[in-house]
Amino acid sequence: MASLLVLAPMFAYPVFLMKALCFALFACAFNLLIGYVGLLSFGHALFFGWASYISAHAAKVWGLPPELAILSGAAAAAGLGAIVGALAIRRQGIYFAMITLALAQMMYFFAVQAPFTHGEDGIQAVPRGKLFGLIDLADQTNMYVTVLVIFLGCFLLIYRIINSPFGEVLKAIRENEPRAISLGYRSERYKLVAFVLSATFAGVAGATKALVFQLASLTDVDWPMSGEVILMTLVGGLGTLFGPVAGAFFVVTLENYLTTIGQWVFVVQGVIFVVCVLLFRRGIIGELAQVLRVKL
Amino acid sequence: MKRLFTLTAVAVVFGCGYAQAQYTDGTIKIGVMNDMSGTYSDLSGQGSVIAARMAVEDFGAAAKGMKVEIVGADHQNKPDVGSNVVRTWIDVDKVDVIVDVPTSSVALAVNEIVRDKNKVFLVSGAAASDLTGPKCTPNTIHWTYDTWALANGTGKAIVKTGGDTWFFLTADYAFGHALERDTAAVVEKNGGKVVGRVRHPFPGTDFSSFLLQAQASKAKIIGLANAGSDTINSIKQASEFGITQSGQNLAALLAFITDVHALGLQTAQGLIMTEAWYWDLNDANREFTKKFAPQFKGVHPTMVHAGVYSAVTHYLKAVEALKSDADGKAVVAKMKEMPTDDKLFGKGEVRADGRKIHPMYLFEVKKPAESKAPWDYYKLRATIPADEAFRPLADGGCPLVKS
Amino acid sequence: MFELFGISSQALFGQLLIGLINGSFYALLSLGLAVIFGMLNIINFAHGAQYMLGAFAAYFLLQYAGLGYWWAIVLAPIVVGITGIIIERLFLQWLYKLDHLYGLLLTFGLALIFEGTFRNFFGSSGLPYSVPPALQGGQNLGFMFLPNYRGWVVVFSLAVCLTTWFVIERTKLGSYLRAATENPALVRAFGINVPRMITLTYGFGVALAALAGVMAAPIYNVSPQMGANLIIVVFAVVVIGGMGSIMGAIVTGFIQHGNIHHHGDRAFDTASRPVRKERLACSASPRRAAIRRCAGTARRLPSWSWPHCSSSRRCSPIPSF
Repeated sequence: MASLLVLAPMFAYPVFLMKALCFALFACAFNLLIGYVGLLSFGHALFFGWASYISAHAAKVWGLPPELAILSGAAAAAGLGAIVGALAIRRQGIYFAMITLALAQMMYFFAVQAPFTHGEDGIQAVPRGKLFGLIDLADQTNMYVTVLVIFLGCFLLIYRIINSPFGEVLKAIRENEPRAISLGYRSERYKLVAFVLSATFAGVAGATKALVFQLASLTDVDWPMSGEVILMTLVGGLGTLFGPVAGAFFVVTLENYLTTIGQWVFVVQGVIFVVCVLLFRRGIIGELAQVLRVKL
Repeated sequence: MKRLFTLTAVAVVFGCGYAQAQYTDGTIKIGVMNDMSGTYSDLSGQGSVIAARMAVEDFGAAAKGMKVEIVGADHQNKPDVGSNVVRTWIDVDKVDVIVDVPTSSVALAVNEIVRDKNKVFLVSGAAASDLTGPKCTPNTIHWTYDTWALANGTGKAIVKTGGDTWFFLTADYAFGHALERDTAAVVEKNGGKVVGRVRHPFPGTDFSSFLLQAQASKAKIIGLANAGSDTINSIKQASEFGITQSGQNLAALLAFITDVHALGLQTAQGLIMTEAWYWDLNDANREFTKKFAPQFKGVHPTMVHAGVYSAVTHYLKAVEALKSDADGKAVVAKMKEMPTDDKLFGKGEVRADGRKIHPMYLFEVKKPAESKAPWDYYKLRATIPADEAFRPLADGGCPLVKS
Repeated sequence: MFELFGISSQALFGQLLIGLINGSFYALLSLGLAVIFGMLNIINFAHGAQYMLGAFAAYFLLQYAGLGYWWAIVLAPIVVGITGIIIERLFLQWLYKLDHLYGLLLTFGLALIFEGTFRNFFGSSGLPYSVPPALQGGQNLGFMFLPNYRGWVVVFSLAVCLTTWFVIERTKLGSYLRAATENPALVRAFGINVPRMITLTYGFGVALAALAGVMAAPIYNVSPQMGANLIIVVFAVVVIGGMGSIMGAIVTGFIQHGNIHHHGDRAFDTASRPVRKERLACSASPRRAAIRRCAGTARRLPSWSWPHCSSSRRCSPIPSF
């Protein structure tokens, strides 16, 4: 996968690829929660969007260099994740989804009102700055390499988390929580940590996206964005490692071609949702894994 | 089935003389971006593409040997979608000029990108007066109208005709606040009084409680500092609550003829608004409308469409004079240097801060009995001369203006 | 006239009444959602879109068939209800055995499809639909001017809500429905056609949404987004009222939402929305169990939602019928 991504800018428009990478990371973060812990969060846009606001604000108003801007965005997302997680973790299933949705909407309205987000206008003209004071990110290639490195780094981290003892406990909790509890694991704690991790990675994705597009807007915190990441993960394959990446690329490509046909985008997204839920529950990678009998 | 929007290339004849002019990759590509399917699709939408095409035809680009292509796209009123489209257009599709772009948040984002890439941006749809103020750039011209002109036109004219107590119903976001602020300032400067204000969530659906407050305030004028469906809904519900019947008047601070059409004269009668152009003002406008309307499902052109036509015409003149479209700054400088003259707006000029100057008009919506045909909606209440219609050059705060 | 929090009593009563009126509206919507969730355990995300379909059906009936409001009140819910039945037969029935989150995702997808299609054909500016002549005008109540139509909305939604509650809670048909949710296999063994009942229940919930849509058409813009704007709010109402509780949804819709919305808007402007969302979040605490029992609807909820009932089936008794 890494080699494919390194060669990609020769064939495709770099900004499009960077967008796909940011969303791929977002989807991976989301997948951590739903695929491996079994919690469907309907408010993940909250972390993605607020991290992008904080990072945009940091880069533009506080004048921080890009690496610090991204870190501050991620930190904000982690903080929000801790708060939301603490409130939501106690519930399961539908209730968890509804609470995350409610909290996300609350923060959305806060974003509409808060002066620093500039409401409808969003934070615009975010400077990309110089990475580590040396590499000028205004150059597309430099930016692309940076985004790629961030993506691969986080992806590897997620991989390590999933395949660690911690990850095994998470999977155990997903399979049968009472049994995990009876074995002595404090499931609440594990779930909270997983939630915060998922929020942080979503934050990294959002913060990076703000620098790539030099814009942080309300679309990123609104609930359709939460819906999109669910779509990406679902299409790619819940609980698979490469699923979210494939799903993100698929959806971003689709959207790119569909801007030509305006509002049909929503219809197509809806159709994909329906088809996936009914027939295609394993997603692209899931089906592929089934066919090849490999664990992906 | 709706037509596919982007890359509906309208290649207008390649002439033999094109080697004489150095256009980037031999073509002048015009990108018309606006809301093609949402709230603003009737006042801009596909109609703006049609207006641009008509401008190119009337200019006679073909005969002059200029190859002009027009592409259209939908920004869905979202800054990130809009900036994505513009970036791709400029980087990949070699578009030279971006036209229209309603929705101020998108326009502001595009403003920055076009400056960075040194292309041209001709704003017709958006309202933000900041585009010729602190955010002005040497690559942008703000064509048709802006919040200052609307506030000045509607606010001042209404106060002078007796509407001296105001209550504002404002959409609770940046644009609504700006519109309220500008209008309140004008009202107070002209001797009126603002007796109250209330903010409604954006977008809103139910305005009953706010309208109740407006009614209780007994202000003579209820100023609607909102746009699109919010304006339409507030007017509809105001009529439901009998507000106009009981003697208060509604002032729509940003409204288009398409909004009046959506409301119907029964509900919209008596509404006062400011516009830059109306299809029934003179013969030239009427002739344009006769050609335009059948192409746009009978919808009559709004000031936004007229602005697109005028802007594209002037752009083509400048590019022809320079024999090049490569340097955005140079083209815009040329457009500011040349006085404007087109059949829709007549003679005018583009100022140093990028503001296009022309007269504005104060209209009142006719009663149903007074209207003789569909789209015959306005009666002219006042003409605001060009030199008074827009914010004075020195007041804007535009860095391009040497003080 | 007295003053309360700096607001004159006149304005206060006016706001209260408006709050009640609009609350009744939301109550009707939440009722449909609560019925579907309570009976079928599916979060019907498409509810907003079905509400929109109802309003559009009313518009079409007027435009193309010349049938006015009174016809629309009867026909639109039936037509949309039938589409609901089709949806249930085609899509939802395969999902009952799965994690109910898939139902949520499917209905979410359906909502996107409906909205996207209508947006494409009708744009977003909205279509006109006027108040029926019989209900135009209003009464001057002294402290405010009450449009007749809004008064009608309160009365009618109250009637519909109470009738539905009565049918579900107090009649034999209702008890069959409730039993079928608790233990479908046993109920089928008694010879009752459970799948058909479930289908009809979904259709009924959808019809309620469409009815709300028809009632909204004259006062709100008939636009493809009208549902999306409301759906989140309606979820708040349903969850606060206790998911699956019919009376809870009605009561909450009428009182809490309507008044918080309007008083909130008056006093805190858009801060009222976060207030509502906060209540939504708070409602997920164990206190809600007590509220549910008070509402007399403890039996309505599936056992897995009670932490202490996860192992024992005896927490959800089969009602006698």
